[in-house]
Amino acid sequence: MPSPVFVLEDDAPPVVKGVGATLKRAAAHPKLSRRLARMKGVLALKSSQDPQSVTVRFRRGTVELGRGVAKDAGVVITLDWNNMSGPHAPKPKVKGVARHPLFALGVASVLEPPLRSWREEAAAFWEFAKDWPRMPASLRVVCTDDGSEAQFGQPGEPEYEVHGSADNLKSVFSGNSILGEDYLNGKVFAVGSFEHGSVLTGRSIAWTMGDGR
Amino acid sequence: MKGEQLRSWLDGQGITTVRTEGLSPEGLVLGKHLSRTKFERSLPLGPAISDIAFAYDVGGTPHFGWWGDWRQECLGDIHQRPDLSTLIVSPNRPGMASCLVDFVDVDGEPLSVCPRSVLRRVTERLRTHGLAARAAFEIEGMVFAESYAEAKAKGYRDLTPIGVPAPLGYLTHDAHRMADFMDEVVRRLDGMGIPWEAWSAEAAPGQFEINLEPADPVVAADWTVRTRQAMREAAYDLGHSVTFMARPTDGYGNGMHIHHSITKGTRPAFYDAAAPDGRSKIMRHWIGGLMATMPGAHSMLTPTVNSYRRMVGFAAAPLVVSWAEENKSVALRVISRDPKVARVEHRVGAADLNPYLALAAILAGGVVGIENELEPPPELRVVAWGLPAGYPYLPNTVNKSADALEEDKGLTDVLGYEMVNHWVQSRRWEWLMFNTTGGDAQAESVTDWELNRYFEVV
Repeated sequence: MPSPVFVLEDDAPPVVKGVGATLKRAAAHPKLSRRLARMKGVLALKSSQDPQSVTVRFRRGTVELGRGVAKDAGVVITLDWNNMSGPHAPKPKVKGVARHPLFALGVASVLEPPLRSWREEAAAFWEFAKDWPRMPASLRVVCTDDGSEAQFGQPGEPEYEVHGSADNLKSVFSGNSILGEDYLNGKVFAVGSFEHGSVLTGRSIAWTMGDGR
Repeated sequence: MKGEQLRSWLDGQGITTVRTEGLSPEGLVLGKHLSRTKFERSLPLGPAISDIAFAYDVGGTPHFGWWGDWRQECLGDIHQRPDLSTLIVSPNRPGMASCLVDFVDVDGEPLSVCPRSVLRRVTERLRTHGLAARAAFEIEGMVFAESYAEAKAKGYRDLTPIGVPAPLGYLTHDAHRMADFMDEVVRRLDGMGIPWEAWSAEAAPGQFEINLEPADPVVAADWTVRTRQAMREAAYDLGHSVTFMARPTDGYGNGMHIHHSITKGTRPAFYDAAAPDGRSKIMRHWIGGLMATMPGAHSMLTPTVNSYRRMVGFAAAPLVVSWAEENKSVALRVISRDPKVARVEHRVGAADLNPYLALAAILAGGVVGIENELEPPPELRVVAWGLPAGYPYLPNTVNKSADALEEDKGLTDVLGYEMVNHWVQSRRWEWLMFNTTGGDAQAESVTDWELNRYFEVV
């Protein structure tokens, strides 16, 4: 079965690109890719905190994404995009499950593709970002749960370090969250220059919005 | 002016404080109030400010995502090098002088992203062709009866325009209602030595236009920066509020038309009496360059999310890449009937533009045209609004304009890679902020996010 084709609206807002990136990550898993290729229905996601919203049309192999909440959306999920994980994250509100139970089940699985280990997610991010102008020559990642670490790029003294729990490292390097934001919110810690922090954050934003996927 | 001459001037004017003023790429007037002693001691490099001042957006959030050569690895200083030829006495603050600045690094080298320095660099490039430019800005804005505090308390909505509630331009009794404000503005301009030509009530309620005399490009942009600043301060002092947002209400938008002409020696280079249409070869190439680079230059002419609210059909803003002789619906209104008035009126700009960068982008387009001997496409002799698909529409979002500028190799060459890259990234940042901090990507009219972000600062 061929991989699903993704079609984003022209000049798509970040939330549309972000949801598109998540679904593309799902499509990288053979089982979820098959599920995506079979899905039919209209999903809408909207923020509980601001006007951001996105409609996703699954058309058995083609996935179309655009801004707004379509009137014909079968399943509508209201969520706080800035607070989706952690013990205090509010539960998303879902409408339409009773009428579209199978579609809702499929949506739930493709919107949360399984994450790899923090080490694998960091490696994938580094591969995506390493050649960008002004990137640090090397990146050291330290998992504060157990002290394990990985280094990417040139050997020797690392130019930039990111420290955090396994969950937070997985989140930021998979593209579920943004490096600069997690740093400012105390979810990850860093050692390095503003220059490298800024450029890495730029790459992190691009990764979150689907570049390189 | 320097040394003893400067000291004598400061003594003669009774100056105790000098305010430095320079425009960041975002269009924010940045500076310090210096004691006279500190000002003199700081010369020639001028006072230091943190380089972060050039790296935050108009909402005060630091830019993330890129880095320029002009920045140090961590937070560093940049300097405001006073241009002493711009030193003036403040007309409303006795004992205070004001001096415009160029932003330079700690070694005194102009920053690659200093808008004033970029404009000067473009005029120097033009000079290598034996040419010089003159420019004049038409400044539009809207004045409201409410003070800034009252306007903020109302969310900048449902304000009371000073003027008649009808879309009637040039109406003198409309102008009369805003005369207290405008009289104070022109009194301050006279005090600063800024030669204004005319002001009038414009079409929207509370909307005015003030025209400044043509001048050397950097001087013309300096005057525009100072005029807008004088208007903000006069409005504040009179208990009113003024804004230069491109579209603060759902009514008319505010533009910033930029007239310019080129001279070769003392002769007008746009005019050729032997040409049947009066347009010289230089003018043809100039128009060809402006047309070819207009999508990219558009980014610097319409810098904010709000700038694009003005770009709707029949709202007097040009929508397509176009030029024509004496046609006010096109992007480039060309006037070539007489050597005394031969010029181009670039009508694309929004009121919230940075005058240095906008003019730099325009002149850079002309330079591209001259250096590549570009011929313009046919002129558009019809109304340029309401045209069907197939016409070369300008980019209609801040993001698309940034893409067009990034792709424009000619403009990048003349403006400099560092400036263009910083600008492109900062426009994408503005788009990101709009979408992720409360702006509504589906809104078809001005949003609270835009009013809160732009009303008082652009």
